[in-house]
Formats: sequence, C-alpha cells, structure tokens
Amino acid sequence: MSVPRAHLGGSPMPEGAHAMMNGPVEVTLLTEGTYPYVHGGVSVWCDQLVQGMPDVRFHVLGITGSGREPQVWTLPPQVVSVSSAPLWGRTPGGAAPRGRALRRFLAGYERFLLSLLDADFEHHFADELYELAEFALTGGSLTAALRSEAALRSLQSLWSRPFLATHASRPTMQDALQATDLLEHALRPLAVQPPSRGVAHAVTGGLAVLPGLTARRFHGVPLLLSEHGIYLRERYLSYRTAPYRWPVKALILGFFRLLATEGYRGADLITPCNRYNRRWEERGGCDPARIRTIYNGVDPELFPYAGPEPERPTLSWAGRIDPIKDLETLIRAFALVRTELPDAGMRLFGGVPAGGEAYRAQLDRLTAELGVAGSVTFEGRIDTVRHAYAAGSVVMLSSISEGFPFSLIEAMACGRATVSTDVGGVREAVGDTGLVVPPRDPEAMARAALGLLREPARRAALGSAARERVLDQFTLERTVATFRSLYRALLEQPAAARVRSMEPTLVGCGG
Amino acid sequence: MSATLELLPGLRLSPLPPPLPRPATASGNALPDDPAHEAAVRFGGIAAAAVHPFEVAAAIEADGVTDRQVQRDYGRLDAFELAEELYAETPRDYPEPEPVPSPWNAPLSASLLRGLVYALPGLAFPLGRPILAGPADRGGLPHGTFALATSLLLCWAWNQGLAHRAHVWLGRGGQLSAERCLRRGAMAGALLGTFGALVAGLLAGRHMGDVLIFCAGQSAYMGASCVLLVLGRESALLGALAPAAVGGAAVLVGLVPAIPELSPLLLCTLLLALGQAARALRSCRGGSDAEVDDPVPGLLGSLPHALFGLAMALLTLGTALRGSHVEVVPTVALTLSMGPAEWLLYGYRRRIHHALRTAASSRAFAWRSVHSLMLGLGSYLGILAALAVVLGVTLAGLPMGQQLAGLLLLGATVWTALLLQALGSAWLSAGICAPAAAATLAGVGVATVGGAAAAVLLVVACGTLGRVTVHR
Repeated sequence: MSVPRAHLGGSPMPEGAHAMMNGPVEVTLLTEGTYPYVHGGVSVWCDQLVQGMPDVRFHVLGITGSGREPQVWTLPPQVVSVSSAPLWGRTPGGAAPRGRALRRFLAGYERFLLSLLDADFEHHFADELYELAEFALTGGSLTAALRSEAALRSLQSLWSRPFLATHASRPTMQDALQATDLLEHALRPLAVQPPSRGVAHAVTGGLAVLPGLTARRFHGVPLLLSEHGIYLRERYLSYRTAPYRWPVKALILGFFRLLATEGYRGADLITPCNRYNRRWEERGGCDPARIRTIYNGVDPELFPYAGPEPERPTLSWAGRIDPIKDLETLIRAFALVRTELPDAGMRLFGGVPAGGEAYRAQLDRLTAELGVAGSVTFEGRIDTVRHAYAAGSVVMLSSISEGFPFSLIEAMACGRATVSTDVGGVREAVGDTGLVVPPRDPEAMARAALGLLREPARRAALGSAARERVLDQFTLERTVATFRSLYRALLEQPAAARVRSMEPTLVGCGG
Repeated sequence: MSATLELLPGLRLSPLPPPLPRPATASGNALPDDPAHEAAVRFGGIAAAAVHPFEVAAAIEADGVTDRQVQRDYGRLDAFELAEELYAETPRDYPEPEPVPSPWNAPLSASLLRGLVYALPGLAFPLGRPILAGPADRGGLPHGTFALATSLLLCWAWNQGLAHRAHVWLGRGGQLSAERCLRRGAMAGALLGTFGALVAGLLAGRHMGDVLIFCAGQSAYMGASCVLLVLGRESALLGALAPAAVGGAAVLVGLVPAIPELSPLLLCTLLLALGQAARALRSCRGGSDAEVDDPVPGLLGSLPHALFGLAMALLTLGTALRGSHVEVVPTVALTLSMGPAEWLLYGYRRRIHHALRTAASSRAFAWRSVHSLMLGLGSYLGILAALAVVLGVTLAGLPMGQQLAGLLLLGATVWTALLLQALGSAWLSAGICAPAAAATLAGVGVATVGGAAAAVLLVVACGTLGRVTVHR
C-alpha cells in the first residue's frame, strides 16, 4: 500500500493492447502441481501442447509445494523459462505493516473476509483480491500481514458476528488460526510477478489462475483458462473429510468458490476439455459465449491398431493407482466376470504415486478377499502404454471423476472396445463406440464386460468404430492447431476468440 | 483431472470421500414413492454439513449419480437443482472433526528423569574433594572455586546454544547436520571449558594442580551430556552417571571417607558418558540430511539461548557462592526442580492447546493464558519450596529461613523465563535475565534481583503469551 496504485496501472485489460505480432507468440503456462514436475494427467497434455508448437515461446510458471520439486520432463528449446511459486516452502520474509498502513490493510482485509463469508458482499471479492495482490506486488509482505495478531483478531471478531452463517458454528481462536494459515498459503501466488506480455494460459482452475488474473488486471495480458477437471468440485470433495471445523471450511471453500467465479468472469476464454464441465462453469457465472470445448487429442501414429487380442479373455486397465480411479469397483466387477468366465484375467498397468502405497495394499487385500488374487496382475508402470491396451480383449475405465481421459481415447485409437464409467467427458469421448456404465456399480460394469467378452464380432466392430472416431475427432494435431489459433486470436483481438459457433459438434455422443 | 496441491505441507485430503450408504429403494428401477424424501435420506447428512449448495452437487456427482439418474430417480433437472433444494431444506449441522490429541502430553516420569540427570552430576563434588583440596581461593572460597565456576559457566552457556542449534537441525529433518553440529560443538565446548578454567586459575594466581584436570573432565562430561539430552538418551546418561553418583552419595552420607582411591569412579562416569554419546552420534549418521538448499540456521538465532544459559548459570551459582562459603541447598533444590519445571511447561502448553479450541475471543484467550501461567508458576513454586525445605533439613540440618523467599523469587524468574523462551521469545527472556545475572555478579541481593526480574518477566509473559499468534 506504500506505493501509489498508478504504479501498477491498475486498470482492466485494454482491448487489443499487446496485439502487435512482432516475433514469436509468447505464452506463459500457469500450472499447479503438474507440468513440468509431475508425470501423467494434465502434464501429458501440457507436454503435447508445448511439443506441438516449436514456433511459440513458452514460459512455465508452476505453483509448487516446497519449491524444491525436481523437473521430471525434458523441456524442449521452445520452453524458454521455468519458474515456480511455492505454496509451502520457507515462510516468506518481511515485516507486517504498522500504524496507519496496518489499519488500511486491515480495513481491506476485513472487506475481503466479509466477501468470503457473506453472500451479500460477494461482489467485493475481486476488488479486494486485487488490492491484496497490489499490496504484495508493491513490496508489502502479505504473509507477515496475514500472520499478524491484528489480522487474526479481525477474522475472529468478524466471523463471530450474529448475522453471519459462521456465528452459529461458534468459531474458536484455533479455527481463526487455521483459517488464516490456509488463506495465507493460498494467497502466496499473489506475490509472484505475473507475466507482463503474451498470453497467460492457466492449465487448471484454482490457484494457478491467480497469477493469470493479476497479469490480466495489471498488464492487460489476455487470460486463457483450460479446465480438465473442475477444481472447485474437487476441493469440495476433499474438504469433506478435512480435519477442520465448519467455519474454517466455510471460509476456505468460500475462497475457492469466489476464485473460480472470478476466473470464469475474468478469463477471456475458457476451454473445458468436455461439455460436461461446462455445467459447472456456467453455474459458476461464466458467460457461455466465452466457453469453448476443446477435446484432448492423441497422435494416431503413436497409438496404431493394437493387433490381435490376447488368447485368454482379458480385461486391461492403464492409469495411476489412485483412489480417484476407483479400482475397487473394477476388481469387484472382475470378480463377478470370473464367476461366469472362470479363465478370464485382468491386467492393471500403472505406477503407485508417492503416498499411494496404502491404497495399493488395500487393493491387494480386496483381490485376496474376493479370491481373484491369482488372476489380477499389477504390472506396474509401463513405458509403452499402447502395449497395455493391446494386452486386453476389452479396455476398462472405472474412474469416479475424469475430464477427458487420455487412456480412453488412446485405447480407442488402438482399436479396442472399451467399458467405461459415465463421468466427465467419457460419454462424449466414447460416443457409440464403447459401453458406458454408471460409476461405482460393479454389477453394471461386469454385465457390460461380460457382454463384450462373449461377442468377439461386436468387440471388433466397436474397436474399429472407436479408432475411426478418434481419427475423425480427437487427433493431437487438431487440438494443437486449435490452441495455436486461439493464442493468436487472443493476442490480436481477445473478443474475437469468443465465438459460439466454434463449439465442436459431435455425433453420437448422446449427451 | 486437475492435479491439486494441498495448502499446507503434510495435509493429505482424500479426493474421493467414501460412498454414501444407499437407501434400499434406490436400487430398484421403479420410481421411489417420494423422491424428495429419498434424496434427503441419501444426501441429507452432506447437505447439513455443507457450506454451499455446490458442495452438495459435488457430493451427488461423486457418488456416481449422473444428471440422467437425477432426472429419473429424483425428478429434478440436474445435480445442481437437487443440491440447491436439499441445501435450502436441510437445517445446518456442524459436525466436529476428530479431536486432535495435545502434543504436550509428556509423562511426568520423563521430566523427573531429566531433573535427576541435571542434579546427579553435583555428587561428583563430594567425590572429587581430594582432587580439589588446596589453599582457599581469594575471598575465602574453597580452593579452585573460580576455575570450576568459570568452566561451568562457559560450558553451560555454550551447550545451551549448541542444544538449540542441534534442535533446529533435527526439526528440519537434518539428522546428519545435527550429528555434525553436536560432535564438533561438544568438542569445542570441552576445550572452551578447560581453557576458561586455565585462564581463571591463572588470573586467580594460585596453584592449579589437579583442579584443571577436574575442570577438563567436567567440560568433557557436559559436552557428552548435551549430546545425550538432545538426542533423547536420558536413560543412557543416567546409567553413565551411576558410578560417580553412587560413590558421591556414599561419601555424602558418610559411608566411606572421601579418599583419592575413589576418584576412578569419576573417570568411569566420564568414559561411560563419552562412550554413550559417541554411540548416540553414530546412530544419527544413518539418518537423512536436511535439504541442501536450506540455509544454515543463523548463529544469531542460537545466541539468546546461550546468553540465557549463561544468565541462568550465573543466577544459580550466585545463590551458591554467598560470602565465603558455598551454599549447596538452594542450588540443589533449583537443579532438581528443573524436571518438574519442564513438566509444568508442558502442562501450560496442554492448557493452551485446550484454550485455543474453546476460547471464542482473543480477550477470553488472553485471560485463559494468564490463568494458565499463574497455575503453572504457583505449582512450580510449591514444588521448589517443598524441595528446599526437605533438602534443608536433610543436607544442612536446619530448615531454610529467610533464604527461602529469595530462592522462590529466583525460581519464579527461572520458570517464567523458561516459559518465554520455550514459546519463541528467547531474546526477551535472555534480555531480562542477563541484566539480572549481571546485578547478582555486582553483589545485589538474590531477593532483590529475583524479585525485580520475576516481576518484569511476569508482566512481559502475560502480555506476550496472551497473543494467539504466539501459539501458532
């Protein structure tokens, strides 16, 4: 607050400000916990995008945990810089403001808190968020200010007011400490210098959007937001079992919800990877004219026809061994298949992520309990994923939550029939070239798998239709070309990118 | 699937909550009798604890209910519409998370054990009397007092700083660094203590003789005990102390005379302590190292701890070196009371742990903190007084009179300062105790120094520790 506002030129995005195209397009990818520090999922998508555009200068700004995560991707030369904004790490230094500066800070902070806690004040959220960003970017220590006793007292006296919903849950000082702690870490990305030119491309919702919003606000950089899963939805689910009392949950989830809203409001274009996600985005207040579905794509040359099926009737699965993949349902479904087809087998391909050992052990117990330990094999991480699809007569997907799963379109490209759960963009991906069953329903999944295992001709027909569908709609080339044109369009004239008619049309996706 | 980082290190939230129990009617294909009722049964628990209708919608989706199923089973357009209805119609409920057990539930026995290993080394003095025999020091104090006191003060201060530094490393998971720090630090401390004794002896201008050897042994022992205490090997230290303690006690109660032939017991204890320390350090070497790019903890951060150690040593010795003789009772009482003192510090933190979870305003919390502080201090002074009376009768044969008031004031200073130091106000605590110690050196009475320091410390502690952020 010590530096006048004009310093940052705090005006909203001037249309076409950085439009002139001298030299290559510059794009800053904003990631959280993914590229280039983690394998799989969104990272694969980022890598495809980067590899596919050697003509674009990429910067990567990753929100990380400790800030000491090693890079696990080999970066091509078009990635000219990588920086990270650690959420935990060492506590940033600096002193809290004092005297008048402190009082000014607290007044703004209280309005910010009120916007999180009271629906009538939600519209103040964005302004107060940018005030906090300005404070952090002009030399103030947001961390020190939020950790001060005065900020804590502000929160405690605010959320104990009788007219707020938190009042009834009787917030304690411990709640105030925990909520402040969570909020302080969540706001650390505000202190990162945001990109000042090119396009800011947030590859996930949530905290990665923060530098994108400040870039847009303070430097007029157009913001593109690609959502694979719905960040907010996943935060709601995670915090259901969090070790916090109600007021803490209310505050931090209020923050995530309003951050999502501001992202949807502030982004020049939102590109979900399936139409299913649009529901959340539109509910979150996003203008449908600025939403454009862009499906993930695969390189058909990397995933050619898989060739003959294995002799033994086999179900195969590929992915991370993670609770979100709901492998329990898959194993239970397989146990039901085995009662009808005693010689059937199942092969699960994929590594156990750090911290996932307990889940793996739980699956081992389940297979033993169901008496299928001998016919379910955990194959571990595999370098050539297409072999995983080739290993099955039918490829399975049992996830409880998905965006637009690579494993599914890859299996389809390999010409395999699939059985998958009706989540996220699965129905859009599969269309009528595979079977889709309700999630968490082993009987339905077993029925579908059995049906396919017993009818080789149907399997073959579905498999070739699936490959045709991928070649037609979900090629990597198409995805990359779409993003390249969007980058240019955003730089030249942001408004032009928002064209409703650009929505892809899909046949036979039943949605 | 977006990858999501949790906001705090170590916080692991499951992205997939357990499935909700399904009411029996949901499985059939027939429409339930009352869809609204069934939805309320299935998702009512979630809706009651939810913070927004979106949370209910997320739970509905995550339970595998698609919009088609919502339309078929519940007659609503989609998950959002169903969620909004459920959220509006369900009264809010605030389920409490699993209570977090207080991390300060240390057993009293562990603290008593520590008190014992603080006090038992004192028995080395009766045992070592033959070594320490000689002409009186200046001021009529026993032979070698200056050298012994100087070496003790230096070692005490040094090892306090060293222990803090090693704890900082251990706190960062840097066992290797802690090992290195302790090994080098303990050796340097032993040299420092010996050198200090030599200088003090030379300045006192008396014949040193065996006093220097005793001081060297004492310094080496203190280094070893610092290592063992930091690494939590109190019982090993107690074992090492056994020979000297048993011998010293036997001399003290008059079972055996203090003869030079008993001195090997001291050597035995020293060698045992050194051996155990070496063993403890070796077991550290297999541990992990701190992150390479973590900066080395600043020496300045350990300075107040060393300064505080020095001040404490001076204040304690100050009560012992009164006039021309050494007063044993107050020093022994203070040293023994350090065990219960530690346990009472934990007690304070236990009560604070509870107060944070019950106080609804910062003012209410501040009062709870003051109350808790008074309770801890009162208990400590009670224990100290009891110890002093019992020791006075057994050791000196007469109860403590006026001295008791001075001792209790000093005790109040020590305990409050320890509390402040434990809660991160090391500079504050050192800054108040160091002038008090200097005043003692200058000859101001124990009661005056203790009274003034205790009063200042209490006021400061009530103010500082009433702040919630101190207990973060």
